[in-house]
Amino acid sequence: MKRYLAWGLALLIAASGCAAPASPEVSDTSEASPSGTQAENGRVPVLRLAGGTDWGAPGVYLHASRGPGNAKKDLIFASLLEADEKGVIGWMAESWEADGNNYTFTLHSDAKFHDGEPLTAEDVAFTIDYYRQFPPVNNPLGAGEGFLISGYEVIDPQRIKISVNNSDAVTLTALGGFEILPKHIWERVEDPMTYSEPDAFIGSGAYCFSSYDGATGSYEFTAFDGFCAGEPAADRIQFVPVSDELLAFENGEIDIAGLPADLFDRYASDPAIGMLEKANDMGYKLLINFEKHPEFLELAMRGGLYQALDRQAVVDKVFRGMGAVGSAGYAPPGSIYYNENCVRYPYEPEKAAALFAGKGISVAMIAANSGNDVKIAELVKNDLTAAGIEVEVAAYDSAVRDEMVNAGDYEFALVGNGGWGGKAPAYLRTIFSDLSKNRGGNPHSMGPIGYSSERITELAEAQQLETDFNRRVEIFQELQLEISREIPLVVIATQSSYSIYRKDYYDGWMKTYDYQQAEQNRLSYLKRS
Amino acid sequence: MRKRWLWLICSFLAIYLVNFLIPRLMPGDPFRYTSSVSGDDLDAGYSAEQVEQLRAYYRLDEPLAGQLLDSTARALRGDLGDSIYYKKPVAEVLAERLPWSLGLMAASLAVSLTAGTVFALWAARRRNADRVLYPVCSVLAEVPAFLLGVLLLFLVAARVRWIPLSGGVTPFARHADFGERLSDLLIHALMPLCTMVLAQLPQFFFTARACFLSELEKPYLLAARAKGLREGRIRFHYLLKNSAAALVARIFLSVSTAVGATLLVENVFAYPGIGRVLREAVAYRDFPMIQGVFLISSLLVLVCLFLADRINGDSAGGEG
Repeated sequence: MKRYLAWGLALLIAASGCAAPASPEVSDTSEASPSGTQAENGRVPVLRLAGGTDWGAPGVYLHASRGPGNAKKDLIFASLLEADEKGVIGWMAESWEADGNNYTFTLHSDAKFHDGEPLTAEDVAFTIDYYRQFPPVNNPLGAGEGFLISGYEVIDPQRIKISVNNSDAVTLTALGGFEILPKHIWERVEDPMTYSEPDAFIGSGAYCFSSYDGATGSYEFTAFDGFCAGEPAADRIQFVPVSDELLAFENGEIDIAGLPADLFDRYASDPAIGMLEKANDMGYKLLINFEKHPEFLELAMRGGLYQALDRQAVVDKVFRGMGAVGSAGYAPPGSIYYNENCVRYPYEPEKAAALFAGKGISVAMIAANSGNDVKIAELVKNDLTAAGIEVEVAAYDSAVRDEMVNAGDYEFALVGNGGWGGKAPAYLRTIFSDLSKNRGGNPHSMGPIGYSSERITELAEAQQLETDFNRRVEIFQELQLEISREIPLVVIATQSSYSIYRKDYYDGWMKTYDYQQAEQNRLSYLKRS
Repeated sequence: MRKRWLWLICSFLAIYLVNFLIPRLMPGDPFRYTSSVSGDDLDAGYSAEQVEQLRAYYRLDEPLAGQLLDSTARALRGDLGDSIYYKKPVAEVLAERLPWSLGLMAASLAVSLTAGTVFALWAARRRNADRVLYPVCSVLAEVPAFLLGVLLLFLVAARVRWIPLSGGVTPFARHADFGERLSDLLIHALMPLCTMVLAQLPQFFFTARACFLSELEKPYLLAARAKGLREGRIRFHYLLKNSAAALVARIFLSVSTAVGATLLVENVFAYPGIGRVLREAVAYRDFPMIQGVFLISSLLVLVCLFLADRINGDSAGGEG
């Protein structure tokens, strides 16, 4: 009887796994040795990263619109330009020229797609037309009437001139950032949103698509020997399901893992372990709806909020020391755009209490119910209560919180999001400029409601039009100084995070000058000189 | 009987309507949800024009009544719509994941039933065993499945090298034959299955124990013993047989809790299944996907409750 039961159990489970469809595109998946030895071609046999989440199939129309989904697509597809530690570099384009509103790109003569077909200016031109009609998930070119490109001219198979109506500081990176589609495949695809045939994954990137299984969140990519802009550093890249990243790293199942703050010291002292810092990349701010609380239109009252908040406590208690008190100018310390001369507001609870005493201010503060949001909201509440402001915290699902903030349905809102560090803080425009704020759903578009400043708007818009890098940095710094003086919102703190990897196995992880996510950066998977 | 069918159909229609409305009436927007933690940042939010295009593509720009009619008409043709997050048909996503969840649920129910019944038989016969099993099961019944999972993960799986920490099968492995694949599947299912069994065993134990103790007090068992029937025959032939209806009904009644436990346990062990899909669908407000997962799981629970009801009804009728 028991034997039959055991077999019954085995068959039940087996039926589940066997019936689960494997990837329709599974190809050669021979098991590699995870040893530290490199193959004769100088590549590591396989790089394994934490997976398990389905970020969609890695096609330009099929991936999830989040960093990890986009990064997998980036391994397969290539754009005209890329970025390295210092600035913009050629990718499928070996050179480029900017002349007013016209940009001429010259492609590598040996650029080709994974199926061996050459990549030419015709493919770039086709991609522009196709994206105008069908915007991809990650879409630097815009859509509809906001489409960036006004025209193009194919000069010869290797050169294309692309024109825009109004060139600004981000035009070159936008034009260089769209993924090039092979015309010979996509010209016959009428509905790209549902097209998932094997050739939907043919690109010109450093790695070919090998396998994807949405159910298990597993992905595999294999090196493309014909890649024209560099040499792949691994024969294969795999994303494998893990329950706990650190356990999986310790178990040798993955080669890089996120590091919890409390374990920092343990790994920092290990010479075999390399560390990657994402400095101050996650930030928290307190938005004030001035239409509902006009008393804060008085500058001293806003300064009083800074005085009331023990922001170092957020860094110490919530971030476990991995982060920094927020700069009142918004851009975080560590950014090349950071202005260290911004006004600093120390924690002065007595002054705050004196300021708010007897005013009878009562606010409702919304926060997300995930991440560190609730913990930070409680600390903020305690500090403000001690200063004499009555605070009622309501925590919501992040999507609800987002919708309430976008609709202006709040008094105070605690908002946390990533992407603060590294990048050029173009978000200062979409947060603070009266002409550009609150125009989208992105947290970097959530600006103060009922507050306006001509000077801040002028600077925030000016940086966007400035194409000279050094002058743009100066404008950014001036803008931060003005923001720190005016306090349109309260910057609480920024959090840093770390990834660890085994140096003796693979040491090629790198961050670009404007992006800190090394695992999501395709240059991390190329040999670097 | 007709009344029961009517109830089943009405319940299904009510659930279908609620499944359709709740995701759409919830605050939050699938194209405007952009919050993130470091690492899964949104690279770029959709522009207003792109959001308009996407709404039209997924037919979310139509009035609710129109969407309901369209969704119902398509569901009747077996088309559950397209997932906004996964960017593929909902039915395809469910077909990929459901076998994993159903397999885990079925296996855990089978093992829990067997173990719970055996323990109950033991407890019914030995008071000392009952003194241990009853409080242990009482405690287990109060521990949430996800907590059991986390405990097993860190206290067992992390210390025993041959037990996989996560997943449903070794990624990218090429199995030589069916036996090798089967053993790979079994070893990956071990921890999730143990968690589910520990979470579900108490309810079977308590049901079986109550049935056995109630049967033991009945006069026919005294007569059976007086006739000199062996204890083994009494336990397996009379106790088990006369409690079978309640235990089978318990299986169907347990499906709803098993569905809930599976969703959590899958997330703990990164085990493939609809649990992770539901979590992501709700977080990203993927309306068609939420609708699809709830439709399938509520249909499963409804049918099981209906069967349990029938078994209990027939059993009561038989006794009467």
